[in-house]
Amino acid sequence: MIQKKVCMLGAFAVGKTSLVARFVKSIFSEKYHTTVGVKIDKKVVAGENGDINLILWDLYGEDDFQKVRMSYLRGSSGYILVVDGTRAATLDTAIGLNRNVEEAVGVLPFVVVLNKSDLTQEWEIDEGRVSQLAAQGWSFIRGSAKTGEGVEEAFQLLVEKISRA
Amino acid sequence: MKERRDQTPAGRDEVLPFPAETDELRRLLENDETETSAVLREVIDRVERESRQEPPELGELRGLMFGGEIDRLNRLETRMDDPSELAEDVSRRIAEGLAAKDPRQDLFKRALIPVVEEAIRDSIRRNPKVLVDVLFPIMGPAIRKAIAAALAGMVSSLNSTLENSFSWQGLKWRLEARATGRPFGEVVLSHTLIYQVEQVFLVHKETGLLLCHVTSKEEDIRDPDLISGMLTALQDFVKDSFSTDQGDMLETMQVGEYTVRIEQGPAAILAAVVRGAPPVEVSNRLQNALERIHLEKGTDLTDFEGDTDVFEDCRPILEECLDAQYGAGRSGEQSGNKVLRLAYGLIGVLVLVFGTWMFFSLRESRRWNDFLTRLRAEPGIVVTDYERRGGRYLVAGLRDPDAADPDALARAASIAPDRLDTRWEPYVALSPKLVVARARRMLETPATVTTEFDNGELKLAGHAPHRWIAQAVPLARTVPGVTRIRTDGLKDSEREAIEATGREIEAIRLGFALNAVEPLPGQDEAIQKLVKLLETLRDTAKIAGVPVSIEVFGQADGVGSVEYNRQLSQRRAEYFQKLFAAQTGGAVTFRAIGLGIAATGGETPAQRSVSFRVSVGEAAQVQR
Ligand SMILES: Nc1nc2c(ncn2[C@@H]2O[C@H](COP(=O)(O)OP(=O)(O)OP(=O)(O)O)[C@@H](O)[C@H]2O)c(=O)[nH]1
Ligand SMILES: [Mg+2]
Repeated sequence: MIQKKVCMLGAFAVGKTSLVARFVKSIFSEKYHTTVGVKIDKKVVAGENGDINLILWDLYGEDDFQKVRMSYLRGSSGYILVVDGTRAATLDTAIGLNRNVEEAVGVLPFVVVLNKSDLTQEWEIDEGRVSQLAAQGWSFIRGSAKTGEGVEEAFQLLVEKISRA
Repeated sequence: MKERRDQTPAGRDEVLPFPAETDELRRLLENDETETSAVLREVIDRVERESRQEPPELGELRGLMFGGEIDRLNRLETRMDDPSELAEDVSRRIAEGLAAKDPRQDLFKRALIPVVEEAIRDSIRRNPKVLVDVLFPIMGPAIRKAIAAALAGMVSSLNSTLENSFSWQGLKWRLEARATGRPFGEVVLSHTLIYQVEQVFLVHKETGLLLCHVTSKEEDIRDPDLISGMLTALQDFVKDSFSTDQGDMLETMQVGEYTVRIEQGPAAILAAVVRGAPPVEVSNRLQNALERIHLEKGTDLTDFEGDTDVFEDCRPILEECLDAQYGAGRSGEQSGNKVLRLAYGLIGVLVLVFGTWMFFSLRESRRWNDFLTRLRAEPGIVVTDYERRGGRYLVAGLRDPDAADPDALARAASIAPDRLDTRWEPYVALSPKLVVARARRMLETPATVTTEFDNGELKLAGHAPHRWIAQAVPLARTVPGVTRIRTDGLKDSEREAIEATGREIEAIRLGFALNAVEPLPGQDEAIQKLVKLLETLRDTAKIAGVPVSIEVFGQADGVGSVEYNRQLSQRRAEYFQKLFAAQTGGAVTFRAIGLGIAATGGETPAQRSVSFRVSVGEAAQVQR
């Protein structure tokens, strides 16, 4: 079977682990356990030319004192950039991370998930910035690890992008 | 070349005088190889030209005399003209030169060294992997041998020491068997199992993806591809965290009773999960397997795109690595393994220490992050710079003196203030929270007054002493950030108290007997109350500094003339005016007003009275 490595990237507590848990095990928990180092999971998805075994690398979130090490990105076929829709600053973190990845390992397919879409009341992300980045070729998917909205689509879109890359 | 020079003079020089050109040629051949071909061509041309001009006999004669030489020249010519022959010749000479023991040739070798070195350096600089890949199959075995030798030395030197220190083990095993209820034999077996290679993973180095996996166990192993990924992630982590040197890699890990041995190749990693303590042979076998895989699957590995099917053929190679050894009756080796077990135990401790360190460092990092977030969220604090140096933290920025206390924030984030250095430049923040804090501090606002700030307007509301209001309201305009003030919600608490007392005073009415100027007896209680109220009024007015005046109205009944009654009422009022003026000591002003006959009309005793009206503030001043 074809295997592909995919990384989950983003600021801390944006919901990377929760998205993987929703995608792989269809579960969600309100509890927050920060990821130490890397957690690896897998899921078989349908690709254009048969099944693909996605190996998901859920990396610890970036914060002011812990930058994400780019060596984890080595050999990745693509990545999901996770942004917390209720914290505008996490979009800046995502932009920075994306730049780092492109400098360290080159341009790879990626999909941005604007997570926590269930929390519409607290939504902070400016539509203008999103459309601006979309114009630069960024693919955004509004989703929620809690409700499951957009999760399947995000991974599927990434797989399509990887098969076409 | 050496031989040639020795030969020539001895062999022919005396017999045949060679033409000068040949001599020149020889000299050149013998000395300066680099110029040889150009000069040679010229010489040969000349010989040819001359031979054409000469009569044939001369040529024949020359042929007879120097036949051998001409042949040699012709041979030389063809050799020089044919590039492949020339190349072969030159390379043979260089090889001879390098092999020669002659010190002059040594110079040649020495001259070559920097060139070769530079070429290698250049190649490594451009792409180190090329050279490493080339050397891997050669260097692997050599390195293995060296390591094996070193380890063997260590093991044997420690053997005897350990043999004794572990001699009570048999007893321990018996105890263990009794405690766990397992047969003694099984316990011994489980302990004397030197090692068993239970699983072998072939992992693609760059992606961490599992290429092939074999296991000695019957049951299915859960998620080998997750293990494979974790191994790679760990490698990356260890490499990033502990070494600056590219070559240093995680080689052994202790996970419970398992040892994970990891062998590195240029494009793939072989990891073996071993129960017990693996001897060096295990590593050797793994290394061998890895080298074979690189040899057979080199291009599949470098061009790997995620398709693992091609690595199915590696399965037999991996299976060869699955083996076990029991240590019963082989005490020497067993002890050796104890040494190794000890060594791996140490590694386990290291991993544990490292894990703990990770935990604390991460927890601390989260705390600092929390602290920094709090600081940044705090109005009146602008963090311009922060740094983590050693175990200490430095935070610098701007801070409004009225902003929250950073030390308190640090404590709230469970950070010891003694590990925190802060440098704050004072500045004036205009955020509402700060303007309010500043206003409260500058105005010494009492707790009964609320402050609100909105868009430049400071709204003061609630109760405050008269004096405070008088000072604070003009001062409020000078607070930085405040452009307007609103005080309609502000209540003068003393004035209110005075007014309340006034109302009580106004409710009192004193009665008189017909024609009397002094109040009727039996009204002592009312008069006492009046006196008390007046004292309160006097005190509050004094503190507040508010003018208070009281009008004392005297009234009379309709009995008698109007004028008489006017005077009577006036005297009744004056009686109280005098009485009270003495009582209040000038803090309150009194005015006696005789109203004459009460407007209510008739001739009732109720009309004979004295009553009061209290005025405060501006109203009181007008009264005066
Ligand atoms: N309401 C809501 N909460 C979410 C959603 N996704 C994640 N969360 C919550 O956000 C918190 C953080 O989620 P994680 O998945 O642990 O975040 P993370 O990005 O893995 O965090 P780190 O590992 O620390 O970098 C948890 O309390 C989750 O329950 C979502 O879609 N909606
Ligand atoms: Mg996480």
